[in-house]
Amino acid sequence: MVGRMNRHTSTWIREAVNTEIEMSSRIRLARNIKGVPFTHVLEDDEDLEALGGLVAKMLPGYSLTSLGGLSVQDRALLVEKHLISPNFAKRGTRVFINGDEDISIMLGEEDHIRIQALGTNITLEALYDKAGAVDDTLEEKIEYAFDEQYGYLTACPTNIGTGMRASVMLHLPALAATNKIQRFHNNLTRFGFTLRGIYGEGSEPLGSVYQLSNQVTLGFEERVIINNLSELKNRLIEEERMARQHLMTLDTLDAVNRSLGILQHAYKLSLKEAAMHLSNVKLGLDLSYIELENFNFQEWFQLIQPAFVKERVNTEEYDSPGIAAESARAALMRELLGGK
Amino acid sequence: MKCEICNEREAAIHISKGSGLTHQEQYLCEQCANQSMDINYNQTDNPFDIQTLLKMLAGNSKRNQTETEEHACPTCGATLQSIVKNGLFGCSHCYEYFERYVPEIVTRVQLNQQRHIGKIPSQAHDTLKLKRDIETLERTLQEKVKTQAFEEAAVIRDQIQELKDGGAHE
Repeated sequence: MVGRMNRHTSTWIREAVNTEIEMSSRIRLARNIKGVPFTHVLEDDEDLEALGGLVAKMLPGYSLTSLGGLSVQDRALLVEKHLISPNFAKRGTRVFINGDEDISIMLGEEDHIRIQALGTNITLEALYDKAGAVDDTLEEKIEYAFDEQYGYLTACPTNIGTGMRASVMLHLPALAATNKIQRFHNNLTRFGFTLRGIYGEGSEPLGSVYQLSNQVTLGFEERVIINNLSELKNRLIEEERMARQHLMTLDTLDAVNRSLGILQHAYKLSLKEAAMHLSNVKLGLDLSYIELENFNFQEWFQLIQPAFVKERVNTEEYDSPGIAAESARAALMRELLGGK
Repeated sequence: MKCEICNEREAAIHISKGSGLTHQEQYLCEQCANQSMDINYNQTDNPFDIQTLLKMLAGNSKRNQTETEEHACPTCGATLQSIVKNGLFGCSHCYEYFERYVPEIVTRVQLNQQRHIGKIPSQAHDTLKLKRDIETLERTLQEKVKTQAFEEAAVIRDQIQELKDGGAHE
């Protein structure tokens, strides 16, 4: 089924329950077809096209999007919705997305098949079950590249074994305000985990939102990796809570309310600025410094991203697209926060 | 142990060079290791920096003027050089073809892990799955015996036997 792209935020993020610190989670499985060279070596699209046909039959409820037919803007929207990776937006071919937009299957990412399940207010175990169910369906017809010693074989050896990357987004403003976050990062790396920016590899942390994920994919069962990650997550949440105790000062109260004021009244907002103020307001809500109805940190954090903002830009109004975007972002914030 | 070159600082790095024929081992401190290998081997570096690691391996093989430069994986044509350039293997067969380098790469990027113990695709690997199940049960059996839970151990022993018998009939 070839679907029409949903240009709005996905239901799972729109209906996200407001939680302190913990945001969305994701499970990603990397798989390759036995006997077919990895994606970057493929000379033509033949194998991936055949794979696409097979997957379409096996997953009839999913809509197929061919990236070739999409504009740069459409691809960027899919990245911001976390349905495809930035790398896939540049070079990918086909992606299957389910109706709820909480499962996507990229064909022709770095590996032939990348299955991912994502959501908020759902455990990593439950997400693993979802991704695993798709994996089970696919392997009925597809023979995967698998080795007794190294498990699922992937293009990059950092993904072999389970081929599984589990990740959780966390809002860590108090840890980010101190140097503690760097110390955590160094320690996590030693144990095979990592903390990075919201859009994954190489992306900058924005608005104190970090992605905690496993780096080691070999030598542990999937559920063990998930358990370890969940324990680390709880530990980080605990540390963030403790660090927040020291943040309950007049300075924080001032910063929170200034940020709210800026979001409600500014006429120009860069992404970085909007993310920072949203982060402050979220912290203020968690600390009960302010009260706001309908504040949806996760969805709004997505709505201030460049492609989502571009959807609202009136290009004729301003000379420079950059200023038009900053103006549209500010207008969105005023609208959402009931400012003037 | 002292570094074999400077004989002053403690040895922190074990260097293994060459092929199965011209094998050479050294225990060095970080500074001497860097000098001897023409790369910056810094222990605080992210161990997952696959590019650096692959470059280091390629550098080692060049040093010995071994046969690797022209050798290409017969399935996909990838060479050690192209793998270094892309940071990616060319196909699943590369893992076999470059088997001399794979264990070191895997050990480094997977924090010393060397063996998959997670999910197995059910389709092609019924026997492997059986083998794994038996191994897991045998480990549990040993734990039960250790803690002297003999009744539970007996149940597990029977389960293992059952699996082994079932496997034999297949």
